[in-house]
Amino acid sequence: MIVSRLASGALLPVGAFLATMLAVPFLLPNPYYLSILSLACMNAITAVGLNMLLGFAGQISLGHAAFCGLAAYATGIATATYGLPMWGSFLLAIGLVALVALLVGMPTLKLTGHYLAMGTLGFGIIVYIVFNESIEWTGGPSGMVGIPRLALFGHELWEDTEYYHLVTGVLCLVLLLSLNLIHSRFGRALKAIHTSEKAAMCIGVDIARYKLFVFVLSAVYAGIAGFLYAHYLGFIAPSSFGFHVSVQLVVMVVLGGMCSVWGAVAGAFFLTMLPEFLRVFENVETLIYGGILVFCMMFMPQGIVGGIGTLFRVLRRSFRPEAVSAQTGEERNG
Amino acid sequence: MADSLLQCREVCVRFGGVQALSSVSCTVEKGTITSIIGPNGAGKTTLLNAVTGTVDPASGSILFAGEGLTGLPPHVRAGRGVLRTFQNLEIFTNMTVLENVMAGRHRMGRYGVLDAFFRTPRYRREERATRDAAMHALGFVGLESMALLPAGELAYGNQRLLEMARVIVAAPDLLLLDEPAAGLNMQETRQLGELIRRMRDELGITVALVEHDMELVMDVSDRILVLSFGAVLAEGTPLEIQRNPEVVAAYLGTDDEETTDGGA
Ligand SMILES: Nc1ncnc2c1ncn2[C@@H]1O[C@H](COP(=O)(O)OP(=O)(O)O)[C@@H](O)[C@H]1O
Ligand SMILES: [Mg+2]
Repeated sequence: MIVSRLASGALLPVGAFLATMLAVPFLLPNPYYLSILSLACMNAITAVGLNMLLGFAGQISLGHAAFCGLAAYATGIATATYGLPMWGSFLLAIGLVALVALLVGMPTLKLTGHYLAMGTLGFGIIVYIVFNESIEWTGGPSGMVGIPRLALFGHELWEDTEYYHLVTGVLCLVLLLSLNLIHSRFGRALKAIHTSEKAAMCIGVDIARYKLFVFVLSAVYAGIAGFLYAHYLGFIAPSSFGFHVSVQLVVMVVLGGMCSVWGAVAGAFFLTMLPEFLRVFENVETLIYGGILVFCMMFMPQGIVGGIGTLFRVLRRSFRPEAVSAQTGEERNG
Repeated sequence: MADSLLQCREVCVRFGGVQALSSVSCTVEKGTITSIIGPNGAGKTTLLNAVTGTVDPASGSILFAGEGLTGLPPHVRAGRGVLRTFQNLEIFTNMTVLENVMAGRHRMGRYGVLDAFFRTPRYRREERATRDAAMHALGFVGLESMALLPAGELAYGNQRLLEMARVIVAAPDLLLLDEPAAGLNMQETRQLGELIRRMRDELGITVALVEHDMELVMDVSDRILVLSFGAVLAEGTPLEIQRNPEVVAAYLGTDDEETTDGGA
């Protein structure tokens, strides 16, 4: 019984999320909102990966926007400059990101704490400089134009709704796979590394390998997001993949709640949409933005999802004090 | 000596200027409980670290089941069945009690990343087996009613038991316990002694026990190794150790009569 609940455990919430997302275009037939939500989905894809790295394995990266950028530029150059087909370009971009993550991860993941942050920060800055300086490839600071819209089975996704469906679908797929991974021996190993590397290795976890694995996986997620981004806007510039974007991705994960994959989604949606809602405040926009962040961190140290979870638990406990013991008994029988 | 499960031969460990272990030789026989005692700073934890691979000896060799462990990383040694607990609890506080124990079974995991991504039948079968084994291990230490609690919410004594369940579930061939009774009250310590004995008798686990509580040590040990300033001071049965004048002078001190009575 527990097993069947587990199997459906990830499908159910992801399915509900997908249904909600697909309902939005009907409720809000506004292309502007749809484009914001599409961007939020892409950010969420990166954030879910970063959440596994940061929230589950406890390893920080301050250079993840660079992986988005690498995939975006790779596919931009491959399709716009060399006319590669979309699927080939996808494999090329993701392969490149995975390879670079492997090469960056091998030395940097031996570092811990601040050093790892510094290492990935340096990597992000180097990539940013390369985007700016290799003008004949990337167009330099002014960016790269003419990247074709994504085509699926020969059909170009010109409609914003179509693209919205695509990124929502990809996000849900990423979510499903990530939730499955977290609820496996690999997820437990990552969490073990987070709390005690000593204990993790003594139960047989190859720490270096797992750190590298989750780093590469999170980079691949970022690469997927970068790929979708490039073929969505048709235009990319280095500033979309700079240091402040990397930091923003980390804030999404922390703000959303590090202990849950859903936290990354919540954080990504919140931080992507917030500036749009605050636009009406004009001059004091940044001030309010900062204020909201500070407020969230002060009153929801477990993040948005953690805060809601705590509230939910408190409510449930006050209504059904026997809930915990009943659940445990069920566990034993299962 | 041929079927010693663990053999340490002239193991030396140095930390900068500190000689933590100087040429320590010892054996742990299969199916026994061997205690390692000695004053604080004697090198007991360092010896366990050398066996599990978190510390590299400067010289000497360590044989487990006849094979050298030298140079192997900790996770490989764990994979071969050398498990341990920690002097300062190392509970995974970001997981539930049950997940902690399931994590303990990592070395027996067989399914791959793709099995996990797509929840293949192989994944489900193994997860179910892992869950059953974890509940069984929790039952063995008496914690099954707390399976779904966050591990950090357990009382201190129960966290010690949880750490035991986490290694039991991995079916160790050799289990190294680093001061498992530290911080426990008298009753809990007695139950722990019983648990360690059951682990040897019912589960066939060979135990190396580092412990300060002499009553516990004298009670459960088949053999005792006494370390002092990084060297072996004495080795023998509990009775021999209690009667060894050198040990009595250096370590057991005034507790001598009391423990002799208890042991004899
Ligand atoms: N990681 C380390 N770095 C430096 N010195 C250490 C380290 N671990 C242990 N020592 C030293 O080695 C000696 C033995 O320590 P330890 O094995 O922890 O003793 P015990 O467990 O018997 O109390 C002590 O002098 C201690 O200070
Ligand atoms: Mg010690």
